[in-house]
Amino acid sequence: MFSIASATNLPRPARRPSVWLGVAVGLWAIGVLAGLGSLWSYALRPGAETAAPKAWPQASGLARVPGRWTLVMFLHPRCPCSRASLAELDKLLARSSGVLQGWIVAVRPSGTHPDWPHTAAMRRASALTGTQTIVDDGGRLAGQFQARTSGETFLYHPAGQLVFHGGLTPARGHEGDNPGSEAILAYLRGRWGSSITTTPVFGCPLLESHTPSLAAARKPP
Amino acid sequence: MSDSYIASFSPEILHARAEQIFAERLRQVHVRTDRWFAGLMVVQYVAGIAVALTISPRTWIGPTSALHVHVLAATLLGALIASLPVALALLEPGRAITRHVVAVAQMLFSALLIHLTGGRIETHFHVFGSLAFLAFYRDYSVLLTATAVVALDHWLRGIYWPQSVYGVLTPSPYRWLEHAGWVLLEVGGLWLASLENLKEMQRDALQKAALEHAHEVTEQEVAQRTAELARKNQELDEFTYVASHDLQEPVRKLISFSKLLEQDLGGQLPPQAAKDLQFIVDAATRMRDLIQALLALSRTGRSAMQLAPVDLNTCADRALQALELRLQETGAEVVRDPLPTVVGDATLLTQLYQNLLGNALKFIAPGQPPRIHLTARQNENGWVLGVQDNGIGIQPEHAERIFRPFQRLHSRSQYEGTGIGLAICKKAVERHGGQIWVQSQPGAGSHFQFTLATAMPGPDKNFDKNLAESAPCKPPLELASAC
Repeated sequence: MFSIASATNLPRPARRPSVWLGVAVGLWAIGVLAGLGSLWSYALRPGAETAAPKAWPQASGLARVPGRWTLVMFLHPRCPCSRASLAELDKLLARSSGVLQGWIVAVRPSGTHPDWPHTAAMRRASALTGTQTIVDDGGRLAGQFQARTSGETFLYHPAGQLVFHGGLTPARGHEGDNPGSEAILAYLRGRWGSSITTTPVFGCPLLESHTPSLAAARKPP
Repeated sequence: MSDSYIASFSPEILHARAEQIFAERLRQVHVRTDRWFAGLMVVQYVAGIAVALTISPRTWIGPTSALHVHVLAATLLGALIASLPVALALLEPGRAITRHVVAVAQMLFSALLIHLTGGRIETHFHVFGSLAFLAFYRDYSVLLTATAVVALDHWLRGIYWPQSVYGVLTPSPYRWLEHAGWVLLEVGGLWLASLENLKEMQRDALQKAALEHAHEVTEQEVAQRTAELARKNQELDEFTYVASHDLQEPVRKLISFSKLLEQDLGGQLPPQAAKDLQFIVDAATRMRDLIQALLALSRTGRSAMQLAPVDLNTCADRALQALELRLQETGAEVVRDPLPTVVGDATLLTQLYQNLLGNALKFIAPGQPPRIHLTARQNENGWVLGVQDNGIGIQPEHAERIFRPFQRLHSRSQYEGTGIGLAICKKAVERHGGQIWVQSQPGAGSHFQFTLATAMPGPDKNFDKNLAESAPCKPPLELASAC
């Protein structure tokens, strides 16, 4: 039988010069790479960095069961990134064997309707086992924890000191393996050798005053 | 088709043709798949926008919101990704560059859709589904291009943004190989399947080439045998003509001398001898009639056709004139549709009408005068003409037989004739490229119909010129008696 290669290499009718085609492919490649680069640059732009309280803020009013690990996650109820943060928290809770007590705090900015936080994301948050959900009117709790970005998570040792602070997603709105979840699991399993105590938080600013640029402006020189 | 049959052909010619067929079919596969992907790109583009509007329509800063970057990315970046492959699929289908651009774009759409759905593991199946679609090209290099895009994406992001793809900040520098390896596993399977498919196409091409060759050989054989048959028919016609022509002379003498003998002996012959002599004269006369009919049939098939526009009204008039005596005897009534002008031989067409009218005047139903209708209607191929009567009719099962020479449905004592008239009609019509048939029932009359084209294909180059002037219808020089 004849060879497939020889058949596919049979002379074809003459084609038009392909200079324009090369230029088009080149421009297309540059445009697509630039677009994807911009998209990833946006996805990996973290929220404002903050100095979280090293000890459990007693004034918060949130209950902490002595002798148990306590996790607090702040969420913007309407931010699309909250969906990914909750998905990762769900996985974390499933892998933490019930040693974790969780709080999910939905921040409601001042001046918004009382129903404003009642979204699909918060309904999902309420359905997670091992957590309690509360609404933070005006961002009072967020202020006490110095939380600035949706998905910002705090893990407190049973003794009350902060061991981890950061986000649980690898990028804005992205699910998947991430250093934050891995660090928390390491602490819960007693692997104190983990050096990760903080990770970037990818999400929407919880309040208007929490945009990265404003936060940077507030930093002392 | 058996392999031995294929092997009997020249392998070089066969394989060269099979290669051509295979290459053409593969090109058709590439073109078709390009067009499928053009459609798929549009569907993915719309789906991307729908996903962005559903999952992340707006981004928020506290209580205020704005259009999410994902919506812009799905709209603008999605359009950019889809633009080149769609354009190439429409403008340059079947080219290698088109399917490679399609492969790259398809993988980029996977990346975009995964991004828009927030990196959901389920959306990663788009990569593997896309590879399966790309396998439709049956071109392994396209699958390798797609794999290269996946590997490059993971390698670069592993270096610059490792957490975005592996979820860790310090992955192994070789982890991209694991991802590329899984993709390669699927590519390997798809390529094996494609290879089997290509081999099947090869076998089909080889069989088609052999079939074409066999077809050519058969056509040549048919042409050769048709020519041989035509030559033998011509020889047979010539033999018939010569034999019947030469037989005329002895038969004529037989009749003449029988009559002379009768005159010479006068009343000396005993009554029985006179009766026997009359039998000889009658038989010889019948033989002469038959020979003359045979000659007429032979002439109908052999005479040179003089094609010209012929007004069939004139032909019918001439035929009726020739039969005028019989018309008066029977008191026949003849009506006609307007008859057209056709291209044909005037003498043959007049003879045709004369034989058919003669039949209608011969086989008349007892006790009622003949009513004859010359019919004409036009169809898409030309004219359907006919002679319809109210005669005795025939059984439908004899409808074909009566057009054969010397076929009679009645004895000579009932109806005179040689049984050659309708055979002459058939030959005359067939020489004009038409067909003749009869619709009849006993007691319900007969309708003989025949087709004539408005234009005759053939060697007459002066057809258009001839149209300007109709040929006069001449009565046939020697008319065969009706059947």
